[in-house]
Amino acid sequence: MKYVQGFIKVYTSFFRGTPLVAQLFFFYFGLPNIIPSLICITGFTSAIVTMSLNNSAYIKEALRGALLSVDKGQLEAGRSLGYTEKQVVRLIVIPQAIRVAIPALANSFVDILKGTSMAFTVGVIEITAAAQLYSASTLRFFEGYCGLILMYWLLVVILEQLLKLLEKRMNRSFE
Amino acid sequence: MRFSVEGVLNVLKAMLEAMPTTMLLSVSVLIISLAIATVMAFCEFFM
Repeated sequence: MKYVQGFIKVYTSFFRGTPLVAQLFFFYFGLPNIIPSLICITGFTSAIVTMSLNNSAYIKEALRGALLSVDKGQLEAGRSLGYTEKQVVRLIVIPQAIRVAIPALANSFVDILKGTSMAFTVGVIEITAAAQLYSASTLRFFEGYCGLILMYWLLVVILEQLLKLLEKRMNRSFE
Repeated sequence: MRFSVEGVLNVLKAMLEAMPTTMLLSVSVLIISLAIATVMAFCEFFM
C-alpha cells in the first residue's frame, strides 16, 4: 500500500509540476523515439492521453480535499449505528464529498475546455487550429482571434451555467 | 486593413466545423481524468 501511495504522490507531483505543452511534446514526439510502436499514435490520441493524465492530477487533489472535508465524527457515527464500511462510504462520505468537490471540479472542467487549445501544438485541428488556419490564409488575424476568443468565452459561459445548475441541485437536499 | 464583421462570421463558421473535435477531446479528457482521479483519491484516502 505504501508503494501505491508513493506512486500517486510522484504521479501528482510530476503532472502538476511540469507544463502541459512539455508533456504533450514529450508524449507525442519524445516517447516514440524510444518506443517505436508509439509512432502510429495520432496527435488526437496523444492529446487525449496526455491531457487526461495531466488533469487527473489536479482533479485528484480536488477530490482528496473534498473527502478530507467530511468530519471524522460522521464516519464514527455511521459505524456506531451499525453501518458497514461500504455503507459508511456510500451513504455518508460520498454524498457530502461530492457537494464540496463540485465548485473545484467546475474549475477543472473549465480548465479542460480551455486546455484543449493546447492540442493544436500536436497537430489536432480543433477550434484554435481552425482560427489560426483561417487567419493565416486570409491575413485577417484580428478577426480570426477575435472570433476564437468569443467562441471560447461563449462555451465557458454555457458550461458555467450548467455547472451552477448542477451545484444548485446538489445543494437542494442540504437546505 | 479595416475590421470586418464578415471576417468574424467567417472564422466562426470555420470554427464550427472544428467544434466536434474540440467537444470530443474535452469530453474524453473529462471522463478519463475523472475516472483516474477518483481511483487515486479513493486509494489515497482509504489506504
